[in-house]
Amino acid sequence: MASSSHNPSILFKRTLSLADPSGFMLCYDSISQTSYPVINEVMHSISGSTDHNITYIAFETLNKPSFATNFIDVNEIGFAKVIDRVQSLLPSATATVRSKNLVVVDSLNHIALPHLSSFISSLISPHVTLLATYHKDLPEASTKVGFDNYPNAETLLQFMATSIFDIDPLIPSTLDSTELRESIEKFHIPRGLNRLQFKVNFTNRRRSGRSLLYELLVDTVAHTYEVFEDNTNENQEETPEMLQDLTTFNLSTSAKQKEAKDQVALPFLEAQSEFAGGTAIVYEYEKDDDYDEEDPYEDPF
Amino acid sequence: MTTPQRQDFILFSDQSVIPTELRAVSAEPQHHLFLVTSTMATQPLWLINALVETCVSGGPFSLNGPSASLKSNPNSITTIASLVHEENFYHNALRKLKVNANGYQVLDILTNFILKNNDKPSDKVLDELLELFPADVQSTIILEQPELLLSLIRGLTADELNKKFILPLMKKCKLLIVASSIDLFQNNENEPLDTNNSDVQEFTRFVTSLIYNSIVVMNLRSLDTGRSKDVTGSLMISRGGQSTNSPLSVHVVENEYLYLTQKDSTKLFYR
Repeated sequence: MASSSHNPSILFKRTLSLADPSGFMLCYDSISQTSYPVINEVMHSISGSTDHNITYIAFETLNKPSFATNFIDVNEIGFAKVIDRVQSLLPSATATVRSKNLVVVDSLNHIALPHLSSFISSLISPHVTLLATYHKDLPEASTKVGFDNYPNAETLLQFMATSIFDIDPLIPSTLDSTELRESIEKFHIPRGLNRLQFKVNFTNRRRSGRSLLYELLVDTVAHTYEVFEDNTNENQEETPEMLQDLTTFNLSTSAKQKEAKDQVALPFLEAQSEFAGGTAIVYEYEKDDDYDEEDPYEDPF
Repeated sequence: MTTPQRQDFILFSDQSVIPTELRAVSAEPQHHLFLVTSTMATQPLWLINALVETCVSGGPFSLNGPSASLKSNPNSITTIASLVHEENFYHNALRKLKVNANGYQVLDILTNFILKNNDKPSDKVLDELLELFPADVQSTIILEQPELLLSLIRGLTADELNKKFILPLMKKCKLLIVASSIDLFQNNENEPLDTNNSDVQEFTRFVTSLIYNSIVVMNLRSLDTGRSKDVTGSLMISRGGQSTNSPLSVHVVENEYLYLTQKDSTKLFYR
């Protein structure tokens, strides 16, 4: 649900700079637009503020990013030891610390479904923010949990996350969304993807459980965040040329006819304006109506 | 009839195929991946040869590529390993291109693979394969069709292949170039791909992981309109998943070329 009382850009900026308490930020990405620009944008947003302790848990990245204070290569130490190693680098939940701790995970797809929820819950604490990537186009590895109705990883993560950045590419002008999907399915990666400007479907979940969903256009070069406006519908507006030569009938409307059409007041609009303050039932007696004042059931009100 | 102008083969914004940063000896070597995807109709051999030529001789001369000021690193050797071609095949092809034979080595991992590894557990097979490759963090390794290991090693999953072979191999070198076949995912209207099939899922997971890890993706495909006498196929150069995370100072130049392979030579044209 969109809310008009908030400025989405400011909320997005506050979330990126970790100003609002958010335990688990989830980045949904795909091969057409990966989450690295969002992670780098978070690093850019927090770079000016107080010192941050950034731990990078890498399942697929081999090169230590320049922003990382600690870099944990999971393939080197083994998955079983990751939690212990991370927790030794983080303050305990009850300690009073001033610096903020950020744990970046790349990516959650490599954690088997039975371990996923315990992995996330063991990392999140009042002093720690988790920023994790999940690739939405990587088919899930077939691991059984043992319960028939256990949710899949995507549902589970969506339930746990406090902020979700669902990242979509800006579709190149030469393609439409269906063509883009079809060529990605065939692993023909078109030009113009994986850019530094992209669209983010930003879900912000409040403590009350209410979630706000915004579509934002993010430019990580200029560091600007604008509300995304879909222009595709405007282009579809009817023009007289579209109806020409379709049949022998004249289907188009002249400017004068259009103007007259626009001026017709539709009945439901009139009804709305009449009782703008509220609703009322108006009963007008006609000359043939038989109204008996003594009969209590006669009065319709 | 005028012939279209031949084009230089360029991947990066400094007009190079392999940027200088990836050739120079660095104190803290990073690990990078290039991906070549191809089909049966558009074999990647000419492109692999051109990439080997770039690593060894300094530029893709066979493709009219940039040649000036690109000195190869004389201390590191380029390793080629293929699961579809034998050793002699590459030696012959590269000799024709006059590539210095001291600059590269070809590993034979194909011959008798099944006979040698039939009863071994998958971890052991992958460990033994890894040991064949030299551990030189300044070097380049070219690996052809590693996805065949998913079929050759019983019970191997895409994640295991990635974690126990591809990522450790990347750590052994500065640049890993993987050539992979994506025939499985091409149009097949009579028999659509069964995405619930576990084999299909493993292949998809493997190729997708490679794209996430690569800086640049070179896709070879045939023309949508079918075959043509003067065009063999198209080469699309696009940014991979790591392109927005790369520490390199140069960026990938996205491009689409048409190419024509005749006898032993390949020419590139702009689309």
